[in-house]
Amino acid sequence: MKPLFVPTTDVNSETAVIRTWHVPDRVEITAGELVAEVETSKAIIDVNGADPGFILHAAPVGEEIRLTEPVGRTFDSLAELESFVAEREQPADADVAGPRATAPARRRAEELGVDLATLAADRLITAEMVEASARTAAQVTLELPPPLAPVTTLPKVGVFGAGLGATQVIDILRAAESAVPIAVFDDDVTRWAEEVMGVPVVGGGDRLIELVERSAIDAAVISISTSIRARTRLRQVCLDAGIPLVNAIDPTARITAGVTFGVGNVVCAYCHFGVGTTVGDNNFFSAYNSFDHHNRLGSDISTGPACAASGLVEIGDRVRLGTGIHIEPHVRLGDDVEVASGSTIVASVPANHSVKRRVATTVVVPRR
Amino acid sequence: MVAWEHVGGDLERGNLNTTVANQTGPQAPGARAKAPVETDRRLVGDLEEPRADRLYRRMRFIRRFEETLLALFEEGVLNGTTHACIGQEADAVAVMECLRPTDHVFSNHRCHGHFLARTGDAIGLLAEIMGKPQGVCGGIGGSQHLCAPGFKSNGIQGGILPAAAGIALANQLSRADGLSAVFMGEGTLGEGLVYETLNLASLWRLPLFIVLEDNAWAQSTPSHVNLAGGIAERFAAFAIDVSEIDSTDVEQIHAIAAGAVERARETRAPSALIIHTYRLCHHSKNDDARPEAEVEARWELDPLEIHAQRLHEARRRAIDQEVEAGLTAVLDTALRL
Amino acid sequence: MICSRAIGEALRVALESDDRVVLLGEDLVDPYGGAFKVTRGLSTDFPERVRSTPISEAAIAGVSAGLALAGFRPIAEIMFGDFLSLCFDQIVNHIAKYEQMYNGQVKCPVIIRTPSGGGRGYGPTHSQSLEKYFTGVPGLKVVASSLYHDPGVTLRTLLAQSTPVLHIEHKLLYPLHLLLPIDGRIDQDIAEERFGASGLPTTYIRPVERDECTVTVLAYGYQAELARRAAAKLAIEEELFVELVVPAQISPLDWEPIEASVRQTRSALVVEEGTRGWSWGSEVAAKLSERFFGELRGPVSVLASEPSVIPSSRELETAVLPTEEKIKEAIVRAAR
Repeated sequence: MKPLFVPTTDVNSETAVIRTWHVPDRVEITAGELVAEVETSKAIIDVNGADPGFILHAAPVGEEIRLTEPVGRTFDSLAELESFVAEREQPADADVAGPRATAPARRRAEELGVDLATLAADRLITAEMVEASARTAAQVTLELPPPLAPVTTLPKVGVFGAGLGATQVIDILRAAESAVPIAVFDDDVTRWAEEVMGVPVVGGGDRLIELVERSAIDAAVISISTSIRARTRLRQVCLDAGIPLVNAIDPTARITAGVTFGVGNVVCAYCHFGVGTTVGDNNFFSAYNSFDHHNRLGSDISTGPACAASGLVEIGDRVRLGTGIHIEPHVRLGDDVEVASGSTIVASVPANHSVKRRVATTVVVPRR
Repeated sequence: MVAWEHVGGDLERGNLNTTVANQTGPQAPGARAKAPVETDRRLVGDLEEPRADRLYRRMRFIRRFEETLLALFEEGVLNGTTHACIGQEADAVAVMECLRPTDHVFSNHRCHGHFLARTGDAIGLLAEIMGKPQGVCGGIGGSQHLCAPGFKSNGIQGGILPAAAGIALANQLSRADGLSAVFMGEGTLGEGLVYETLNLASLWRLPLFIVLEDNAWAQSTPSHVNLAGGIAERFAAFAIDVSEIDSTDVEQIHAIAAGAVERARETRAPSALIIHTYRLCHHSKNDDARPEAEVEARWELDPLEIHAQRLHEARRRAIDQEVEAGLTAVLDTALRL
Repeated sequence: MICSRAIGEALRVALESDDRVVLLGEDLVDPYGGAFKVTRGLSTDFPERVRSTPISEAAIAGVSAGLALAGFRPIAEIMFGDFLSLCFDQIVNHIAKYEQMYNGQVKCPVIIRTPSGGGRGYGPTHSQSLEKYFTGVPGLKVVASSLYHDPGVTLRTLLAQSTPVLHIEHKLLYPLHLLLPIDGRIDQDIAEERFGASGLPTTYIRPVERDECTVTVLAYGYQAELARRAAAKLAIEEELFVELVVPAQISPLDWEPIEASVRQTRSALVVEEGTRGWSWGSEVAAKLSERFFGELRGPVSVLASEPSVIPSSRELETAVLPTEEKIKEAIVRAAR
């Protein structure tokens, strides 16, 4: 059995949605045959079968798969394929004695070393319960570092999210000298006690709320760069807990006088916001974004580097722009629009739509 | 009014020793208790009266009621539709004379004659057709959908036959001795359900008494255009006993009806009585396209005239006046509701 | 106990405890005992009151009407739900109308039972779910059996009432074991019953408490069981938590128990086996949309059969009818 993976070097996507199967399930394919088309957050990718054989779809059209898992498998014979299927046909929690838990919960429990039997026995155990348990355990067993304690009159800021975005935010805050990042927070307990650019990860969202309540921290910046869902969720967490958000604006950014910003925005190096532009809350603008003039930008937007919008462009809430996108004047991108890297947008896009570009894939096969 | 969406109230277990057919069905909780119908002796007569007089009086009652009704429609006092039975009064009166209170009668869209002959409730019927709450069904059923003790009617051709058969089955199961009588027309013989019911009634030997009034015309269609084969043969095909008469003479009809009903009570088997008659009025209102000459000729055989010959002229006039007075009282009361 | 046996037992108890009960239908009598064997054994013990009829659906319904008018409690069987069309006049123009037409002077408490639904490859005229044409008829209750409602309790409740009933029994439920709530659980899920004006229960089945559920799925009969299986898999595999709401009486509906769920989840999916459009699902979607306008995350969605004949070939039939897979997909969409 040979697994077939989606060929991509896209580091920003973790999953892909299957758009089309070009060959039906369980048919014989030839080496290099085009078998499927999948869509990541950035691109549409053609998948060619590398090996000949009988192909088994891993998932149907419309389903989302992890890029670390095969999109299909090829077998030398149908019999092999069928016996593989038969083995897998166990219901998700059959033959599993002990506590009832969802599949994501079991996976997470294994990753985090949590014993499901220690959790509530009278209800279905979810991944969140497992993570909460791990956090509690970590709080007990891990020695969590304290936040930094600089002497300063600047606001003391918590960076919410310990991923790569945090490095950018910490760098920006230090360069801008507008606030001092004294701690990083993340609900993924495996990050706790690490350091991001010299700033310790001191706990999760609960700890952030605690420190704000104790006035040890004045405000937060959400550092997640690409996942709009995560940014939106964390913004709600801060809103519910009454945690103020501040902007982190790189000193090289050129912001014309009169341009208004909401709160919680991250603006990376060399961004340009031209005259008459208004910006909402909780947006993450990567480097070299330019909004020429009189743009109206919503909230919870995330952009890749080198995006440029002409004048009088409107961008709605929760819009995701990839890298290197050009937008012509008067275009309106509705809420929840996604735009693939390299697109040039010449007309408005209605809400809840995606702008995609096709990417050809090169397949490497041995010479005959 | 009983709320239809809510179902409530336990039914009492019916006492199966009572004659089931006498019930109008299990009493709905909350249904308005019906006051017993007061019948006017001037309209229905009584058992003290000589039968000849009584039969004439009742036919005259029906005739005048229907004529009054049609006049009220003409004048615009009534709305809706109605199906008068002028010319067929003898059938209703003759058959009802043979039935008991413990029997049940199911009638069709042309039910006024049957209803009046069975219950005598002129005010209940007129108020019903007028749409008044004092009507026998509160104005909800109207001319074709009547319900009273031992009597029901519905306006769907053929649809009443299986219900009547079901009531007959109920009598059979509870060992009650009532008959279940049902009135139909020859046009109804077009409906398939009639044959399903005849088949079942015969197989299960149900005490069902069918009175078929062949009035030669089904709405605007003469019966020979509607019916292949013979009428009596249809019943015979299901091994159902048939009597047949071609007459508008109430005494003749009564004689044959009495014999048929007697046999039905004895055998407890289904049977049919075919009466060839004629409708002298329109099908409903102003829809008569029959050849004038034919209709005129049939007026010569008016059942009231035929039977009136048996009465003294003075007696006849007296009865006519009594019926008129009775109906005038009914009309007065009804118009004041 | 399997569903068909449970229904047969319920009929037996009814015959034993109430001598007004009469069973009519085609081929009911032993040794055959009915096309789906539901009435097996009954005619032997109650020969006068369990009768086979000729092939006369309209007369079966009509004679039942007469029996009911005369004080009996007829329970008629129409061999396939597809044949209900043959009794449409008797049900709609007679049985459902007598009480109201005669101003409450009579009751006509006929119960008509019928096996319905597809999935056995019986073809276009033996696989349909025609109850959609009887829902909403004034004066008529439409009740659907499911695995979560005890048929004995349902029948006892209906016999204590006096409204005419159309009792739909999906034939694929017959060989399945009932899944009645035990100690507030069905299988591993939480199960709860709520009663409304109908007198019959609406059953909730959910893997976690309602405030963690993000979709309400409304279904009856066999589709409820498919929805339950789909929901169970989604709970385990995706942590997508659904509250399944299964009313016993599908027309008129007890709205309160349904609304209680939708109010919390703010997203509703209706699953039915009748053909899509102009249906039970359409009515539920309209009512819920009216009730919760502006409060829902999206329009109420309806998953139904394709508007075509139900083919006999297994593959083609599966493409027309709802399936567990299609229900899963619909739930995922409704959960967004």
